[in-house]
Amino acid sequence: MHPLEFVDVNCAIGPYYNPPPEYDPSAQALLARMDELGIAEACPVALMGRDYSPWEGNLWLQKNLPASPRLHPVWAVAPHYSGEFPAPAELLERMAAAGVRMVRLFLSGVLSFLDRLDLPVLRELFDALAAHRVPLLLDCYDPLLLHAQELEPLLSSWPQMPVILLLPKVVQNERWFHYLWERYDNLYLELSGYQVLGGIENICRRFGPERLLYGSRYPYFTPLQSMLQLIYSDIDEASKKAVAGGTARKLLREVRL
Amino acid sequence: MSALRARALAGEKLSDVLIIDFHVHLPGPWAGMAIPVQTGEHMLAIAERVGVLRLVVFGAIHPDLRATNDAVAAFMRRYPERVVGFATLNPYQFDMVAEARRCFDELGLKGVKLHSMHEGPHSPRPMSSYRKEWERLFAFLAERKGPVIYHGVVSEEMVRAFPEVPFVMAHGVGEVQAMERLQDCPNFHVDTASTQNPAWAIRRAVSILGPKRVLWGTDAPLDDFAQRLGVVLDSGLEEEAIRHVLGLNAARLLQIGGAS
Repeated sequence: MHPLEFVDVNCAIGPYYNPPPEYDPSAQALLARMDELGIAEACPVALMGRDYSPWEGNLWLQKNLPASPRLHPVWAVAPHYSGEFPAPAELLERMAAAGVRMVRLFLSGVLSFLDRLDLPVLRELFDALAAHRVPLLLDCYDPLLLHAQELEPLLSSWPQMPVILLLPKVVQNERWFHYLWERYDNLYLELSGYQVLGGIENICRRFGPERLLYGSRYPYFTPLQSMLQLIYSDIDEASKKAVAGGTARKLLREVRL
Repeated sequence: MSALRARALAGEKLSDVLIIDFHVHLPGPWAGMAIPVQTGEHMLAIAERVGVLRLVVFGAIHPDLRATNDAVAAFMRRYPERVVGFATLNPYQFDMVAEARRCFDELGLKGVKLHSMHEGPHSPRPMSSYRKEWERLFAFLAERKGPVIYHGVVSEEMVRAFPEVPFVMAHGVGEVQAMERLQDCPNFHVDTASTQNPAWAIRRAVSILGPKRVLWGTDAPLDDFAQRLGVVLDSGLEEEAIRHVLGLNAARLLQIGGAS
């Protein structure tokens, strides 16, 4: 078994609209997979928060995620103006009460709550999250929705808010992430969609290992694939530890709720 | 936990497992994304860390396919034990059979890659209109027992019409309908390449086609060898089936040692 302590920042549980074969939606199934592969901790969100309702997903997670030092609940977030989601002050209070220290914003096309990074309607929410240094998992199903023109105002307006990109795959706009990494310390990329050969080595060499975080995209992907990508990568052990879980733990520790 | 998976988790090089990557592009510039690995030598060094013994290599999407075929051949000449070169063909650029003959006879390439990206909105005619060209090409490949890996372009009818030609549908483990329709064609195969093909798609492909018609491919240098290895190792298949997918099936198609 590997010596690395993996913290999975990209995993989900709960009812799934189009589940993989033999999918078990429970937290126990996630814990079993973690035990099987040697994953120390995970940050699960409820899939219902993407496919149905962010707030209903959070309530489902609160009810179904067992208290465990290995599981860090992640709540889906959304603008509150339509009355479908709590206003930022109430949200932060409820997050603190529920031990939630990381949030996830789904940008998944016409069937999701938001189809783009619409900053005016997210401003109050991001003000509140940044004030408490809550990391934002920015889950963008279409990688071409995000370019520097969307990300730069986000990173520059809320430098205290770590932004972790969850992308299904890397395409041409990743070139402009390099521009952003040169300028902003609060931009991170999760591994499961960053599958380009030599990519880990390249980012670590140019921008440092703290820019990449291990994630699996469980249950759609097996957690093993990005584990092996990191295990076999040609970077030093300290850098592997940072990517596997060191940086995720640091970001969770720095939350002030 | 399976022994192979445990060894991979320990970062062990799987030298005793025959691993052949059936879907690799020659490194170089790529319009659709930034590729950190820019030389064949760099790519081979990374493959070596994982234990990938051989790579089936074809060109990038290049405006001059003859030049990219020459570059693949030069790469294969430098590393004959590790690189199996395939020609990339496209009827818009040349007489495909003439170029295939040049690639096989003069350059020593062993198979053919066909790519749907050669057809675009500004193409003068659809690929399908070159029917006679395709038939001549597949007749040539049947004579030479040369495999063809294709991305789009090839129809079900073509696979059935040339049973001597091993057809490999690139990224095909995700194509359920094609696999079901061509289940009865022993010359039809799929590869595992694509960032979006999950582990359960490999298991599903084996359940439809059996373990001997699914080939491990990565799309390197676009994708990572170890990532795509993890997809197969955690597919839930028996170790014997995993060994077929990872290399034995490719060895059989390429007629190189280690096949069963």
